[in-house]
Amino acid sequence: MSSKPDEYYINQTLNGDVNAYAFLVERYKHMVFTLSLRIVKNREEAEEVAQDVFVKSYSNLKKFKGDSKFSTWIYKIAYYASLDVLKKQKRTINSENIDAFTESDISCLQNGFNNLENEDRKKIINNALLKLSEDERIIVTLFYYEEIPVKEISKIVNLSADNVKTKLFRARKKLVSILKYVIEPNTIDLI
Amino acid sequence: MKSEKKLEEFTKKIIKEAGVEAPSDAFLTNVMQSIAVKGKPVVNFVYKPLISKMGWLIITLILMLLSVYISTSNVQSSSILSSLDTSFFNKFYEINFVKNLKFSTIFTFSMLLFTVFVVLQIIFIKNYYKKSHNL
Repeated sequence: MSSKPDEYYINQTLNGDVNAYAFLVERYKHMVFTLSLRIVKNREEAEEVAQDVFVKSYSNLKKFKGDSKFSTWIYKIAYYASLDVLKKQKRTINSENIDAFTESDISCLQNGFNNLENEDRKKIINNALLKLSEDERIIVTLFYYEEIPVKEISKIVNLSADNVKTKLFRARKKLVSILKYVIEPNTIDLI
Repeated sequence: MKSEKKLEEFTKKIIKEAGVEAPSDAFLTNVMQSIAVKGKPVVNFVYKPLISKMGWLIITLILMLLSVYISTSNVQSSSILSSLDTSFFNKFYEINFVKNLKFSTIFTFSMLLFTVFVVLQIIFIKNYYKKSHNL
């Protein structure tokens, strides 16, 4: 993939070079699809939403002023488009209780993870992520995977920076709490 | 504090490990096909004022020059005005159109109400268009 900045492809697209937009789709398709999938929880639906997101952003490319990054803009469109699908289907929003845990619990979890196969680990983490609320899932993914600063995330999810920090804190605790129940029986089985 | 740092590192590790999901191979083709149907990006609707800033500047300049001209050449201008025959306009004052017009109270109130609704509707429509064009 070409390493030219987003602005270059945006300008090329606006000047009539439709193929330039393909570079932007290639660059962001994985993250947009992941964000959609983590909200709608269905591959077909997520693919449809992600495609719509790129088509919508293309149609509205002139409205992109460049005040924020193109990634922030497109992730925001993806986030709201996915939430719209949930709203239309009137699906309930997840919420998991937080259990208390200690430092040794984290060490125990790390050991438990090391005993698992790569694919199993990935599956367990993704399942645990799906037990977080929609906004927590997105915030955690953007912060820890994409390493987007809290300030940028707050623009995507339309929350204050402090609120994003609180949600990150809660999401971390929830994740460990969920994984504790999944990993511990597995570890016992292995022993 | 130490456990919080450990938790932070652990979360980062597992989220990185979860990675991102890949859409189908036809994803890019599907997007580009949809775009080809759509055509060029929609041109953002931009309102242009009827009178541009330059227009206002020219109007102000003309008005200023006129006022300066009138104030400096007062005698001359009044002589021009007095030379004009304006007796024709006096005929209009003689005709009283509204003299024989009488409105009932119901009609007056209904017209008043109608005017209020028209004004409200204008405000409502203006806000509606403002919202739909994200102004």
